[in-house]
Parts: sequence; C-alpha cells; structure tokens
Amino acid sequence: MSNLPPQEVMSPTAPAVPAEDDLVPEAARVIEGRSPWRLAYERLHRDRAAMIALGVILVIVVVAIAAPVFSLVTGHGPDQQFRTTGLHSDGLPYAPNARFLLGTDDQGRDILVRIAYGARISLLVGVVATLLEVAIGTILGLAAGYFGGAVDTLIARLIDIVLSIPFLLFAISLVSISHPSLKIVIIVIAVFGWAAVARIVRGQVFSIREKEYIEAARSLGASPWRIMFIDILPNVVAPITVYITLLIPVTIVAEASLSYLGVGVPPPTPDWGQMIAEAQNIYQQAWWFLVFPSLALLITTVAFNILGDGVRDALDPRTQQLFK
Amino acid sequence: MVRFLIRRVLTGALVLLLVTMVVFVIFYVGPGPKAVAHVLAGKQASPSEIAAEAKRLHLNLPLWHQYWIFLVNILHGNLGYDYYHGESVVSIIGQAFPITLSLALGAAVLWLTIGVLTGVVSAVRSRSVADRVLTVAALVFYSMPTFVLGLLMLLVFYYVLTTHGLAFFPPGGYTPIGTSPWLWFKGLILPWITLALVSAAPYTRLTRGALLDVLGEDYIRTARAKGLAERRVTYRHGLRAALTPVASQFGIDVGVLLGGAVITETVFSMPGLGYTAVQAIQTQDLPVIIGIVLIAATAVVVANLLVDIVYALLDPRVRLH
Amino acid sequence: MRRARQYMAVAAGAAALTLFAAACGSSNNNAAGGSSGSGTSGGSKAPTPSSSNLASFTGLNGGGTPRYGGTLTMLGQGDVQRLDPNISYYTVDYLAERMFARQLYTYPASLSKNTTVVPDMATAMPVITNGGKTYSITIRKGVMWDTTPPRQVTAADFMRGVQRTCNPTQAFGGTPDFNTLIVGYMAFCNGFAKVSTTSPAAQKAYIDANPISGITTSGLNITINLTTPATYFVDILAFPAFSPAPVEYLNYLPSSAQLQQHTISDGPYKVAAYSPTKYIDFVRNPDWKASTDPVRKAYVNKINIIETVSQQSVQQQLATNSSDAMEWNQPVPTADIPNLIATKNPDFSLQPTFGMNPYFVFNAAAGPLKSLTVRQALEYGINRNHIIQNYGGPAVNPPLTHILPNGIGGSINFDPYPYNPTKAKALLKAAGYGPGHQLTLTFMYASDFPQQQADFQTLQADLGKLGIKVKGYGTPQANLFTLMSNPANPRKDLWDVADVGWFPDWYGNAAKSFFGPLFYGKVLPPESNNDGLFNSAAVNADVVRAEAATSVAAADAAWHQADIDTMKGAAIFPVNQPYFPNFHSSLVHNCVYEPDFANYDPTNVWLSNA
Repeated sequence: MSNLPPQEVMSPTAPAVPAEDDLVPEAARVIEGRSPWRLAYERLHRDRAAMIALGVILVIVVVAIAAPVFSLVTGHGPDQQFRTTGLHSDGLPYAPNARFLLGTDDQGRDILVRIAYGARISLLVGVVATLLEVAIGTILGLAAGYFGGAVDTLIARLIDIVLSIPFLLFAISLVSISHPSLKIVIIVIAVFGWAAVARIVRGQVFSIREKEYIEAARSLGASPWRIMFIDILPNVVAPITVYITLLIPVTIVAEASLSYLGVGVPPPTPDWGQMIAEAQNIYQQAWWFLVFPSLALLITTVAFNILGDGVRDALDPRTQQLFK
Repeated sequence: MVRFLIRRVLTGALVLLLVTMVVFVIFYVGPGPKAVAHVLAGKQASPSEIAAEAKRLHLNLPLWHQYWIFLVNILHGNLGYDYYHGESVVSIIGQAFPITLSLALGAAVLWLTIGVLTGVVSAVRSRSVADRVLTVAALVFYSMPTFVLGLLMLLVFYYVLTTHGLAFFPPGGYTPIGTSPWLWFKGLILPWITLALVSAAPYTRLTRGALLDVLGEDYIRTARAKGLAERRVTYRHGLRAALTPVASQFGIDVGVLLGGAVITETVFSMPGLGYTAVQAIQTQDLPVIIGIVLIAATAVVVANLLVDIVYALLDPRVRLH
Repeated sequence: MRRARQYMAVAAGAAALTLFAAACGSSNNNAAGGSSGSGTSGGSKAPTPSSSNLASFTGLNGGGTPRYGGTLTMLGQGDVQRLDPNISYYTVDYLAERMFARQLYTYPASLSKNTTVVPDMATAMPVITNGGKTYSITIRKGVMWDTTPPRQVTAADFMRGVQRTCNPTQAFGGTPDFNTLIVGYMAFCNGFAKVSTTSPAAQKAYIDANPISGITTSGLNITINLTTPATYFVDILAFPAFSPAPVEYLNYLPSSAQLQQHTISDGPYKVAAYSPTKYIDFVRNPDWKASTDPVRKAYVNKINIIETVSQQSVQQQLATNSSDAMEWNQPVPTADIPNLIATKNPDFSLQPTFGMNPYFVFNAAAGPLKSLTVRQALEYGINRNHIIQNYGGPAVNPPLTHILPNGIGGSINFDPYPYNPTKAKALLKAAGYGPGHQLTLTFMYASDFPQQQADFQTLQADLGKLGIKVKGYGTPQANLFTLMSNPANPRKDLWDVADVGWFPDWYGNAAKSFFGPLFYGKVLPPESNNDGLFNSAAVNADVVRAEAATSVAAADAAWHQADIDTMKGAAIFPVNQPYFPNFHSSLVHNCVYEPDFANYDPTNVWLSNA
C-alpha cells in the first residue's frame, strides 16, 4: 500500500506510506547492544537533508511561538489595519517596503506579521489533527487486527467507506453545514484521516499477533487490552512515527485547502490558506500578497516531507528513499 | 475466479450501500425531523412548498422506510432537483461531467508520463545528477498545495505573459470541445499541468521503487546473464513487471478524480463536478451536493473494483487471498 | 427598489433578491398616494457628486457606421434569478429580458435620457385624464408574439401580465410600489392568494374569471384607473413585471423551470437555448419588426450569454479583444479600476446607479441596537472611508452620509454624523457600555462576496478600537436575503448589523422607492425591505406628507425631511452612492449604459467584425 495519491484526492489519509511489512522487523527486533531507536537516531543525524529540514522546521516553530515578537518589533498587530499607511485610498495594498517588509494585504495589514501568526494555525492543525488521526487509526487498527472476526469486518468496512468518500467534497459540505471554526476543521480532518492509519496498523497487527511471544502472553492470561497496548503497540510505533512525520504536511495542506475554499478558520485569524484565497482576487495588482504566504506554506510542507523521508530511512534503511 | 469476482463485486456494492447510508444520515437525519424538509425544499421555500417536500420525502414514515425510498430513488436515477432552477440533478451532473473528464484524463495521461519517465531515469541512473534534480523537483511539487501551484501558474503564464503582450493562456474557464477544439485545448493546458505536476511525484516513487526491486530479481539476472543488452533488460523485462503497481494506483487515482477535482476546478473556474459542488455548497443547494457526493463515491468504489479485478486477472495469486 | 447587483468575484449561482415572497394579499402598505400632480420628474439629470469627471467614462465607443450581424458574447459568472418577466426583480434578469420581453414604456438607449421612460410598445406617452387618475394607452399594431402562427400582442395580454405579478406561487417582490395605486389590484390579489399554489389550471381559471377592475382592455387599448394621481406611474409601467404575458404562460406555474424553457418573445431576440447557470443563447426573433420598436435597433444576429467565466477571466478576454464581448452579470474587478481610470480606457465606463451599495442596516427591533444611543454611537464610530476602500476608493464611490443619493428628488447633502470616535465612545458610555461591560455585535454579511468579507474585517478592526466586539455571521447571499425577509430574525436578535445594498426602481422622483420599502415603519418584511424593523413616527408622518404633497417642491421638501428624520433615528449607516464599473471589448460599439440593469444595452450594440 505505498500509495501517495494526487492531492486532489486530498487524502489527509494517504501520504507516502511506508510499505506495510518493511518497517516492523527492523525497528522492532530487539537486538542486543545499541537499541534500534538509537541506531535510527544516528542514521537520521547523518542525513544532511533531513537535518537541514529539521532546522527549517525548528525555525518555523520558533517563528510561530515568537509571532508576538514580530508584532513588537514592527509595531504591527496581526489584525491591525493600516488604512492610510498600508493601503492606498483606492483600496490597493502597498508593495514590500521599509515599513512593511513583505507588503500589506487588502485590509492594510502587515503580511510579514500575519505569516508569522499563520504559522501557529498551520502547525497547530498539522500536529493536533495528525495526532488525533493517528490515535483513532491506531486504536481501531489494533482492535481490528487483534480481535479479528466480526470486529475486524466491521472496522474494515468502515475503513473502506471512509476511503471511498471524497475527502474535500465531504469536508466542505460538513463544515459549511456547521459553522467553520478551528475545532471543526481539526475534527473534520481527523474524521476522514484515520482510515489509512488504521489500515496500516491493522496489517501490522495481523503479522504480529501470531508471534510466539504474543501467544505466550495470552497463555499467561494477559488481558486483551494489555496485549494490545503493552505487547503489540510498541511494535507498530516505528511505522506510526514515520507516518506522523509524513502525515503532518498532508494535514497542513488539507487545512490550507479548506481555508482556501472558505470553510477553514474564520477571519480575521491569520491563516495561510485564507490569505492565499483573499489574494487570488487581487494578485494582478499585488503579487506579494499571493507569493509570500504561498512560499511560507510551501517551505513548511517541503521541510516536513524531507524530514519524513529521512525518518523513514532512518527507521528502515532498506526502503527506497524518494527524495534523496 | 468467478467466486472472486462475485465476492469483490458484492463487497463493492456493500460499501456503496453504506456510503448512501452515511449520506442519508448526514443530510436527511442530521438536521433533525423538523428542519429536513425545510433544508431540502430550499431556504427560500414557502410553507406550502415545505409541506409538499415533507410529503415527497415521506417524513411521516419511520426512518428505515424513508431511507428505503431515498435508495429506490437513487437506483431509479432520480437524484432530485436543484433549488433554484428546478433542473434535475442528473442533468446538472451530466453537464459537469465532461469537463471533469477532460481535465482528469488529460492530466492523468500527463502525470503518468511524467511520473514513469522520471521514475525510470531515477532508477536507471540512480544517484546521478539527473536523479537528484528529478527527486528534488518531485519533492517540491509533491509538497505544493494544488491551489498554490495553480495560482502561481496563473500569475506567471496568464498575468505576466498577458501584460507583456502575450495573451495566450486564458485565466480560467472552459470551452467545450464541440465549440472549438483549439480553445478547449488551450484552456486546459494550465489546469492539466497543475494537476499533473502535483500528482506525478508518487508515480516517480512507485516506478523507481518497483523498477529497482524488479531489476534485482532472478529472472532479470538471468536475462542479463544471457547477454541481453542492458537497455533491453531494463525496458522489455523490468519495466513491464514494475508497471503493475503503477497501473493499479493509476486506476484508483483516476477514479477519485472523476468525482471532481475540487481545487483545480475552483482555481481555474472550470464548471466540472468539483466546481459545481463548491457552488452548490455556497448556495446550500443540497440535492446537488448529495448527487455529486454520491457520484464521486461511486467512482472511487468502481475504480477500486476494476483495479482489483484487472489485478486478479494478471496475477492469479491475488485471488487466493 | 430592487436588490442591488453586487460587486462579486465569486458569484453564487442564484444570488439575488427574493424579498416580498408573498407580498400580495397583505393590506398594510404605504402607497397612499402619488407625490405630485405636475409632470416634471425630479432629477433624471446626471448626478453631480464630487467626482463628476468620472461620469465622462461612458465606455460608449460611439461613432462609425453601425453594422448589422455577428454574435455578441456576454461573459460572466452566475445566472438570472428567473426568466419570468412578471416575477423578476433583479437587475440581471432585467438585462436578459431586454431581449425578449417588451413593456409599454421603457428606458431608451441614450446616455442623456436613460433614466426617463419613452414609449416602447405603446404608441405614445399615456393620455392622462380624470385629474391624473386615468391612463389611456394603445399598443402598437404589429408587435407580435413569436407563436405559430405569430399573434398580435393585445391589451388582454397586458392585463394578464399584471395579474400574474401577484400569483400565489411566486409573487413579484415589488408589488408595494403600486398595489394600492391600481384600482382593484388588491382585491384581485386577495382573491388570488386563496388559489392553489401548485395548479396552473386553477390559477388560469382565476385569472380568466377575475379581471382587475381598474384595468379595462379592448383590442389594443388599455385604460388604467388609479386610486390617486401618481406621476411616477409611467415609470412603474416600465417595470419588466408589467410586460404583457401570452396566454400560453398560464399553462405553467409562474417562474417554474418548465416556463423558463418555454418563453415566448415579443422582442427582437428569442431564447434558443437556456441551461440554468451555464448559458443562455438568443437568436433573432423573425416575428419582430424594427418598425414597431423605437428603442431596440437589434444590430447583432445572436447573443450568447456564458455564465461560467470568472471575473478575472472576463476582464482579460475583454481587454485583449479576444471576442466580440461585453460583461454579463459581473462588473469590472475592483482592483482593475484604478488602472482603467489612469489610462483613460475608452472601453471602460463608470456610471451612476442612483443607489446605495453597500449600506449597513441596524437591527432596531432587538438586542443592543434597539437603543438609539448605541445606533448613534455606531454612526459616529464607523469610518466610512475605510469601508469605501473595500469598494475601490472614493473616486468610484462618492460617500453618502444620508439616505437619498444625488439625482433622486429630495436629495440634499448633509452629514449628521461626521466620523468622531471620541463622541462614539461617549455615547457608548452613556448607554452603559465600557470596560467591564463590552458591547458585542453580530454582523451578518454575504460570505460569497469578497467585498462583504472585507467589510466584516474592517468593521471588526475599527469598532474594536472603540471597545466593541464584532462577531461575523457569514452566509451565502441567497440565504442572507431569505433571513432578511423574515421579521422573526431581527426580533430574536439573530443579527445586529447587516451588509446590504439598494437600487431604486425608477429615477428622478423616486424617493418613495427608498423610504417606502426601507424605512416606513408600518410595513414590515416580507412585504417590505425594512430589514431592521425601523419604526419612527416622524418618518412615517413624513412619508405620508410627501405622498400627499401637491407639488414637486413640497414633495421634495417632505422627502428631505424624511431623510433627516431617518438619520436622526439612525436606521442605517449609509456608505456610498457608487458608480457602476462596466467594460467591453473595443470590437463592441454603441455601448449605452442603462442604470435599469446596470450594464450596456445589448439590443443596441453593434460589432465592428460583423
């Protein structure tokens, strides 16, 4: 299942999925001496591209955390409108200049400051929605794989349904029926995103559950919950870790897409997708309004994808690297 | 094989049935018994229209019975009528579909070509400069949200070119092929490229990975040992085997796209299924939304089914699973 | 008083006006009488706001020898609301109906006279007798329906058209303009309201059996009796709603999809194909004779309306002359306007609308804005210039600081609430708001219109400085109008401030088209557009006085007083009196702007490529 569908499919469901049976053995095998995690860490550390990507991500995180500092230094609030100094009288924004380093938007706001604050939403949704997806997917995947039978059939069908629902279409109709908010956006992404995780985990569990040490645990009278979470879960942590890093950029794009379609985080909260949507009415007169938020979004997703690729290599050096 | 086919078709049908249930619950049960007739009759409906709609929907019946009627209507090809013009949803979909089809098929051919070619180059010239350049490009386009690429395309190829006296690319819209094949083609170039570039990277990866795997297998070594030319080994023996996973992924992706390329169609104002759905959502035209969602889900299920069947025909082992 | 065509970048498929859904049948209304006896209409001259030089942007592309033939393309995004002339109440509908539905009187294709009606299918201006209360009109011989065989349009067809306006299925939204004016109209409508909403046969039977008592018809002759003299009645006769209707229309429910696929033409063009939200194709109507139509020259052979082209795309196609095209429903993108002005583009026009678009209506019925003091605080506290920036700046949007735009009888400039945040804060404090007791307002706007989204963000920032919290309630335009037409919504404080627009139904002596539907407190939605349920005894009295006035001067004075009193009551926050920006390819000639549909008259353009 190493599918990586086109974005129009927009699956937060399916980033570059590690091949199902690639990861576990390598990472999970308990070897004497240096732990597999330690080995993976060392491999990752040697991966220059991944390290640079990690650096970029750290910078973005710092920018997000320190967004108020941008406000403080420029003296421009994220939602503050400079109707005279940042906007011509006919409503056209100002190009980048000494006062507004990246120019202003159609409301006379400082694009630099808004990009900094926008990083908060992107990272927040990227991380929270991803963790939520992975949590739901892991639990259902574990249950399906461990219990098998009717439980498995039920969950497998559920997975099939979610995967055959066109994400964007459903997400925008759902969000527009309720009122768009940060919470709704996260929930909608998670609701449609867990299925791919569940499928991977389910497959992994299938291959593990007949192993001797699980049999042993069972014969010792361990409860199913104990077996699932204490004995099996650690073995799927490696693919899940890879999955998380690869899923974050997909989720960030999903959030930006919802905002672009007008059903994301409501204004005036600065958000990259929404900035780009607002810019598209005016990009002929204000290229900076389109280009800078786009670059911010692009740099973030590229960095996460490179890092994700590196993490996968580190955890399973046998797989082919895509971006190397 | 017959048993496999039957089983697979039945599973697909079951999934579709479940999808209709999900749709029914979200749109018919979700709003609550009082609101649903109002919502489905249109926001501007008069009390008498709402009453008529409630009657048409049989809201007095128990839920399972309502669902049954909903299902029977769908199976009879009756998806209802849009609120504003009373046009049948089937005809709306019928008009939008050729646009989505034009976009999806052209883009698919393009991304398959790009993906497979770059994948082969990367595999054959592993670690070369070409490989690196291609993988970096693949990474960037893969990471790029569709609307960012689409809008940047418009900025450069429509706006900058037009202001410099080179008005070649339109900034969006769709010309039916029957009206003018040339305008149809011209208008689709940017959307095709946009969609193809963001979609090609997975194919580069799939092709590269599969080809490298295949080239390591015994029969390829045998072929080499026989003294066949490397080129012949790679393309005749290797690529053919490597393309199977690519082909199956391709089938699924095209199926998904046939339900509407929401973002691309929106960026380029092409009134295909995705664009029509976005417009319907803005005006809360629920019958149209429901119709398009159902069509899109059907396309996904059918594509999966076809891929599985073709796969099983090619590879007998699958049937045993 | 039709809902204004909006500046929009993303058109909602059916964004439009659906007010007054059931206007007929109500007996409370304000049309107590005409405003004056003498014949001059107050101000059909071009308005003279600060930027009168802009009106020199006519986009006319006049001169040259007109050519016949060719296909005119109209490009836009979005559809008519309906193709049923007796029901339509939207500028874009009016534009389409210009091709195939004629009226007794209409606005001519002349830049200097485009707000004064002239005979269309009538032989002459009406003969007015009985102290201004009886209108006698004759239809031209030779005006034909394109039926098989072609059939003369008769006075009976006119009666049928008027009857259809208050059908129980989908009434015309503008009936309050005239429903007490025409003798017997109310009685007819009250009876019609009891007829089945779903049976064309029942409606036909009622129409056939119940002529409106104030209208008598015989062959081509029409006599209309009014309850009171009204100089603007001839303007009302120019409403597309007063188009004659062929008997075949009674086979369908009004405004139904079937009817819209079976329109019958008495104009120079007929609908060849109509695919809702996609396209409308018009071809020549062979049964139309130029000799019977003094208004439409009908130079082009075909008119193809394409409804799926984005605003940007339209602008590019027009600017690069890639086809013989003009705009359909979308104006020039706001951001393109400065450059078009700066380069003095001859294909660009900026013409008066005589309307206010947008304006902010305050909910005077419930919630914090029930308090006059708080409403007045907002009048002082909203920065008009900032809102105007969202619409392309003051050059295109001369500010409006009171109700009546320039060019409407009774309009005199005054500014009762110059921007003054200090005063606004003081008033808020007086009303008990301040630190510890924050004022929170819900602003309702059309989420599918970028400029309205911008209005929300602008208000949020500006009022935020006064300590007011503004919450957004964005909803599609179509839904917004529906919410507006139900007075229960303001009463339960669903919204406090709403973003709307207004164009008058006629020009010059048309103050009634503002105060009647918007501020007269005794008629409420859905029968009016008094969205905020504003009710001021002073304004109500002013309106009655203005309508009873016996001279134009007296009427204008009373309307001006109504203007002052409405502003005193802080019913709305007026923003601008916009010029409408239109554009066309330079291959399209003789582009005469018509305020009635805020676009060039397609039945009078000609193509240099023809």
